[in-house]
Amino acid sequence: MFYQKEIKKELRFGDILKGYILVSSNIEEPKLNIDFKINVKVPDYCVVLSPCCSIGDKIISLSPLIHIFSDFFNNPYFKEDLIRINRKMLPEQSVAPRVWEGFSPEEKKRRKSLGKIYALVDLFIYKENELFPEYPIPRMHEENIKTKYYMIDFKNTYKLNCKKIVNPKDFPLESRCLQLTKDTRSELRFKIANYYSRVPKEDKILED
Amino acid sequence: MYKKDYEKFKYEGTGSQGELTDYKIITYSFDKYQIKIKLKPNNIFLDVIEIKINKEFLSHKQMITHADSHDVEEFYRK
Repeated sequence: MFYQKEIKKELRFGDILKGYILVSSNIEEPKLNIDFKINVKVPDYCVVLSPCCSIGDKIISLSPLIHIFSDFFNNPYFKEDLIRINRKMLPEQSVAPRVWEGFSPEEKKRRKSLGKIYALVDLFIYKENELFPEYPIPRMHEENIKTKYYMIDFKNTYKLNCKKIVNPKDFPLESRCLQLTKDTRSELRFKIANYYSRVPKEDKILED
Repeated sequence: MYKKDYEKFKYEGTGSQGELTDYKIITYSFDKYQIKIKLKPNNIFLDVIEIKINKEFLSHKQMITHADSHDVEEFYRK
């Protein structure tokens, strides 16, 4: 089960909230003078990305639920179950069969040597739910697909100040819509931990 | 003078059991073992104090490999 049937009172990592605004500041490039734009959006839903123990002190980290990519449906392994994107997979499962066949024997060997690991490290899929509005996925040369699946992008995380978020037990209860099960929350925790624990190639060379 | 005696007592202990701290103990990781060795201040080997299994079985290199990912982002852009 992806979502908790009976939502626990405490606000948890991965919970889905509504009613929180998304503010992002945009600059052309870093400058000493003041020249910037601020975009304010009201996403339908957003996800708590503060770890459970760090929720409180009037600050919360959020990421909006966004539409999934139509390219996912080019890969039959993903098309069969989009939640597989959240989990570790074999290299030949991470791309469409025609892409895999296009790799050279050396490239296939290199990729196979990596074994079962994550792909699309920035993304975490949220399973369809009756609460979510349905939207069409445009498909080239095929009929559009309608879906209620959404996702979050770890790159798209922002901080929000809200004086009513005091601690996990003291927050605006009416703003919480859905809660992940313990297992799903663990999957989110492992994938975001992997996202932050990647080591850049140049640092790997230094380690060798 | 009093302070000097206190320092001597603090670091060297009392009676004949007191031992001068003219050595250092370092922990050295070798394969899956952690070895505590005693060295002189100028790094001359004196003794092996303890050998134990390193419970963190993954080496740093293994942990880096562990955190790798399939490089497929270019196939999922929209």
